[in-house]
Amino acid sequence: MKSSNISLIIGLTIPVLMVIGIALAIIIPSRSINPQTDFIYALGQYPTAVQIETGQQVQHAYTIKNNTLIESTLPISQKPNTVPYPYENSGIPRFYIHHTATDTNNELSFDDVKKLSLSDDITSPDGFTMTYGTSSGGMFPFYFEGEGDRATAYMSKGTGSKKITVIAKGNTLPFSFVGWVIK
Amino acid sequence: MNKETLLTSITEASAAKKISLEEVTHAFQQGVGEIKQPNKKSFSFVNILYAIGGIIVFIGLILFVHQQWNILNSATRVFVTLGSGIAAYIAGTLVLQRKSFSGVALAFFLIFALLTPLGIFITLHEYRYYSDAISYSDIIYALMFLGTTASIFTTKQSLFRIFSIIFGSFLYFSVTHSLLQGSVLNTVEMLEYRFLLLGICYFLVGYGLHNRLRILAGWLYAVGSIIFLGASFALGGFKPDVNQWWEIGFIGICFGMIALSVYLKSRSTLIIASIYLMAYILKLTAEYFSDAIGWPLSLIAAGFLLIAIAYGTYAMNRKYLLSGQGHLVE
Repeated sequence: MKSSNISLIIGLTIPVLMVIGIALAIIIPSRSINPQTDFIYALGQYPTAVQIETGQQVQHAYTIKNNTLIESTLPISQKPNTVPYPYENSGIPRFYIHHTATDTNNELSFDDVKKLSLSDDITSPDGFTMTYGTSSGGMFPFYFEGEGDRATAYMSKGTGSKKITVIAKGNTLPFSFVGWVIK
Repeated sequence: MNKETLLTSITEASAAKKISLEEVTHAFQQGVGEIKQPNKKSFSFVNILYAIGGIIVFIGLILFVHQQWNILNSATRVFVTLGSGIAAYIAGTLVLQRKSFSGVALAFFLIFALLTPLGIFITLHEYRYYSDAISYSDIIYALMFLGTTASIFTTKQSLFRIFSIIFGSFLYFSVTHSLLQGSVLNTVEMLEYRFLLLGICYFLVGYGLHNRLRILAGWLYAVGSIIFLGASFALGGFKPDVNQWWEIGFIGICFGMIALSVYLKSRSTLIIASIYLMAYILKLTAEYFSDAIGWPLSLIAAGFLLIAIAYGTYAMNRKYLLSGQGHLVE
């Protein structure tokens, strides 16, 4: 066989092998993973939210200290007659718990979240991390959402990952990860 | 000029590597009428006009659909976009039956290649297609790749070779993008490796087509050089996130590409490799030497190096590429 024909065959085969290689590196490990740790996430502004309270901007900041979610408030002085941003009633985040074993979600009040023992480590106690991806829509390279956006969430371990369902549609802000629920 | 003077001039030019055997043979054959050169320039110009016409029709259709979008129902939206794309393909195939209308067929095929991906996208969108595994672009580029590749054999039009490569490349990126969603492997570095491999593929395919489709091979070398060197350059990273293996290795890659350009007789590869080498020197100067010896001295040193590279490129072009213009691929 001529060297030019060999070159052509190799050139056309490499992308196919790359696709197969990536598929094997991802699909096989993904079949054997089984995440179990529940987590809390927030919709809206998190970890810092600004709200109008008695005519004044108040900043709410959320942090996890000693495995508990705590809130601190800080009034912000503002010029009179200035339209504050963000607009009224858009500030305080809503909290949800994701039940990983059943892939379901429930809304929790802030008081309920405070009662949970949380960890804001990147990795869950069973070794998973949150990763994100684009949705099915869009057309390469012009996706509706950018590369690495939060339209879809996954729990990943090694090169394997499992898609999870979170409540994020219809919100102007993507969901924010708060912490893993420590059993 | 008598015969002896003429032959002596050829001998001198040949010794100075200013002329190749092919050029001498070509000039001789032209004189005895063995080669009838087609009027390439005017043919290319007419083709460009056909292509511009096709692009204008495409833009017009897009604007029309955009203006009328709200009053069109789903079926009409699909009909106007996907239907027009398929209609353009059929029209191109029919027009192609008359040889003198091959340029018009090119315009129709161009409309098909530009409009049909949008038509498939609108079809999927209007009929609420959703899949976790297979994205819109996987379907669009797979269909377009298959369609344009099959058309290479059915219509023998070179336009489909170009679009087959474009849609094949997009399909490769799209499928790997879909597979990587949610994986920790979905990193910028992985994207750079995907580009790197595509650049290598362009070179291999270009080499494979070198003897049959020289112009296409030239373009593949040029685009392959840009992609391969761009990916290698990016893999080296930028301070402080530097990958030392790639950063040090890049200089070897550049010189390797320059050597390859001589072997492939590709002037574009030589020029692109030289430009990347210059960019590499400027990057190293900015990252490592500007603080140590100061910007002014760094710029002077970098400037001299750039002049040396420019001269080296010019000299190599004259010595190795211009001397063998018979095989030269732009």
